[in-house]
Amino acid sequence: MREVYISGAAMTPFARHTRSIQDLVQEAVLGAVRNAEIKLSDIQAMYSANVFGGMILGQVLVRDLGITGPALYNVENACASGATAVHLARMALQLGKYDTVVVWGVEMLSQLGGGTIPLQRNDYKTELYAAQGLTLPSVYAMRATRYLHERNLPRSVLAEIAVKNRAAGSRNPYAQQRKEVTVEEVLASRQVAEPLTLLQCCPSVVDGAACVVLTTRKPTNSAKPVRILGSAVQSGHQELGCGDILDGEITARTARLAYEEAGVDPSEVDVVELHDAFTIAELIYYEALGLCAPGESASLLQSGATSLGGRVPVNPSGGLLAKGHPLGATGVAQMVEIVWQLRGQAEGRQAEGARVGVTQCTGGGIAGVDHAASSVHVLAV
Amino acid sequence: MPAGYAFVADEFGEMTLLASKSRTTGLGVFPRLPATAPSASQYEDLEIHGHASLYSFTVIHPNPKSGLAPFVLAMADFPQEVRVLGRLECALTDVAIGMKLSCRPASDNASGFVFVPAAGAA
Repeated sequence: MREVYISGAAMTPFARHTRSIQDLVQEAVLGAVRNAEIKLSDIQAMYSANVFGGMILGQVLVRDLGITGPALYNVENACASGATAVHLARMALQLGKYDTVVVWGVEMLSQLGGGTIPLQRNDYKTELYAAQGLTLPSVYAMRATRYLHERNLPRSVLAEIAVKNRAAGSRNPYAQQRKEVTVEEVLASRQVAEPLTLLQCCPSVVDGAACVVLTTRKPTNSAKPVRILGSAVQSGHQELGCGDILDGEITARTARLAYEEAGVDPSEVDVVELHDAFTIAELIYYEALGLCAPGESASLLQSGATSLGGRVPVNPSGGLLAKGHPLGATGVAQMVEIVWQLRGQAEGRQAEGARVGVTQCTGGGIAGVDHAASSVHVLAV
Repeated sequence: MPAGYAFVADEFGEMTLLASKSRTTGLGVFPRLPATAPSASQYEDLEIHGHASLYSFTVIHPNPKSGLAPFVLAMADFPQEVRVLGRLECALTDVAIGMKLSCRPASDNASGFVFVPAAGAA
């Protein structure tokens, strides 16, 4: 199987942008192309990840850029759209269909008017649950309630995730929210869905784009060549009976596939960008990604191992909590951050000496399915 | 009340909810699959009733601009191995994991039912 490299990586700041969605994508694409030191004419295919932009968005975004003509694949898998696009692009490269492609993700949530991201309305069961008041924060909140109950932990352990990630985000010029916070401030912020407070939720009004160049040609630019060693996408099982909502089954299953393909043990991972849309998620994913044993996520957090300077920094970018979560862009932006980390270019938030990095994101919460999609990638230099 | 989810089954006003049971795993899923679904043959009908146990919950605080009051959303596990998500009407200070719940009609709720603490349940 052919090796696949990420030879170029770029993103826009995640923020409330007044520029157009075309502007954001073109900035990210041109940045990644420059970073890879290739020409636009080298691009043989394009993968465009987005959730709310509508049909044939990718073609609209790059029409004026001068790379029309090659195959363009529009990819939607909720919050895992960007990671799914990378997965598909890598597969095409491995199979020899292309040598060099670009993958971007983009979202303009400010155009939705803010507030909680709506559940999709294409399912009789989700319709019923939405009518009850179910939103994505409330799904995570019920997990948090159960987590604190079973583990006999105080609410402050959730707040500590927000403190850690927002501290990292304060060092990242691409993050939307760059203010450090204390546990007390997190707990005192507005209640959203107990036990989750506002500062434990990713910002809901954020725009941004991110892009990577994938190639089978060993990069010749000056940066360390980053390889994708493992890439997995899985879908969620139907929830039947009365299962354990603290079991991150889909994430653990996806991670196992990615680790196996990469030939990497979780203990060898140096840095992680994971899907901390809400604080409780990060604790559950520590265990699902094998960063600690089941039941030990709070201890791992409180040991400092996942903070900047720790054994395996998690979300050095600030994560979704601080950087923001423009859905279609998130999976690609996670990879941009890990590329920068592995190259030693994450100024101000560098995981020193990192050689193996992991990205993980989940997509969508359909009623009756744990998560609709999960994607895990293992990158290395 | 939407058709197909629930009906009042007894003189005390408690409801029976209509679910499906997987023929493969024997586990339940709520609400009942539409009878017209091509996948319906993989399931058999299941009526769920009796006291449920509160598995988890959250108190949702709608955006203050909405003017809406906080409410409780609950996951309730029934003895028939089915988990049902619904609103719980209860004093916020009384909500606790493991409390016993029953199901009542609710005209102001789009789903037509609501959980309440079970009368006389320990």
